[in-house]
Amino acid sequence: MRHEDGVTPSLTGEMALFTLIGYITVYAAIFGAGLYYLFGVLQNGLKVPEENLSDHADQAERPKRPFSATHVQFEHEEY
Amino acid sequence: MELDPLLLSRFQFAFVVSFHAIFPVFTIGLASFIAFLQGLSYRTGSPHWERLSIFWTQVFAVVFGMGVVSGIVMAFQFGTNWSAFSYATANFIGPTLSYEVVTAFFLEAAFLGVLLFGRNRVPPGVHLFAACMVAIGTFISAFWILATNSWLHTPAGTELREGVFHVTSWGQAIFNPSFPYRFAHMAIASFLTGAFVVAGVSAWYLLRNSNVEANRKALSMCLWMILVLAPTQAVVGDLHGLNTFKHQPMKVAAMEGNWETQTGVPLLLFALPDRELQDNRFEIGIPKLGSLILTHTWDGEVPGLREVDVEDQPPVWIVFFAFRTMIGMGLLMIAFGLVGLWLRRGDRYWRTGWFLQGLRFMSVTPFIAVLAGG
Repeated sequence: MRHEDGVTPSLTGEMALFTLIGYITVYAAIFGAGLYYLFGVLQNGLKVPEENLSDHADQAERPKRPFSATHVQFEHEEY
Repeated sequence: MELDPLLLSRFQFAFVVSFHAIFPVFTIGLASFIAFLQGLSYRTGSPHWERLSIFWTQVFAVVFGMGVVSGIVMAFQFGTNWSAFSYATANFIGPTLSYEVVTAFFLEAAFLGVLLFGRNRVPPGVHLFAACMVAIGTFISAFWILATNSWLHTPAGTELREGVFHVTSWGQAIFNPSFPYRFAHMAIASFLTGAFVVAGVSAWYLLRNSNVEANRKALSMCLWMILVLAPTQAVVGDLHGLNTFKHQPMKVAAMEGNWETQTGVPLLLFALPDRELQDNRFEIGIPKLGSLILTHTWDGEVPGLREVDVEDQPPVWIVFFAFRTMIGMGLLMIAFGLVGLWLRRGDRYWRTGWFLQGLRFMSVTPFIAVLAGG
């Protein structure tokens, strides 16, 4: 089977271009935000969680999503 | 303007799969590192290991999330853009990808919850077990996906009847000829990626004089790993190359920019391949070395691209240069491993400025290597 035989028969060039641009845009947003946040976590360094949580004793961990495990705010005030 | 769905679909898949290749490669290595740190913490009770484990688990959480997201999107492409391909290969790929989900993803997801949120809620032994299970899960995942991908390169255990592949032997299909080499090469790549990223970040903290004790230990572990694994990867890569030479000679011909079947082939360091000319417009090479690497004899015969029709030939430019990029990165990695060993005399590896700065840069190289190689 050659490459061209494997493509979805009903797919048009316009559809593919639309989704390609869509992917690039959405990925830029998501991975851009993700990497920004990741660098924030790295900036924060090896602080032990107790030091972070001292003022936020009421903020119990809610295991809803991976990001709630990092104890790092998305926006950094003191960046 | 004529928009070609084939070309656009290929671009789209290349874009999506490149993103996905970056994250899991890192998380496989990092998961094992975290499990190891947890083990050390459990055995020795030293606070440094605990701190490192907590920190790198946070990093893992973020990267894992990005990896999963990109993976789902990529998997959708099989159906949306390549449905004819999916239809033909469904009898094999459907089950193998399902096994990946059921045996690996479910395992990782369940224990990841314990790893991320159970640190102070379950006994330390259970938490360590969770870390190990996540690490094992990442390898099971790699197993299934690489078995699937390897089958695309070196199919076995299936026969094509009326345009649809039917599995005749699951053992042969899963453990197809190129699978062991690809799996080993990818596993080592993951460890190297984890090692270089941790080393780079640790180096940065050392330069900032932040948590020196803990980061020193982390850097030391990484340097040992790199020292052993970077050369091993080169050996595994060589074995992989020999296997590819046997099963997919035209791919090797493109990688090496070899147009004419000949013996005593030079190793081309640089060339400008030209498809219309069916030759290289320019080349710089080391005589005979190409044959030596590919056949392990000085006068081994290497097939040339001209053996097949032009439309059956793989694209040469990108394969040729991407391969050389990957090798270049690999050589750099080996070099850093060796320098790290040398700098252990006088305990200088964690205090030498240029080395630490270099390591920061090096944290990107495994990703370049993975993208170029893949």
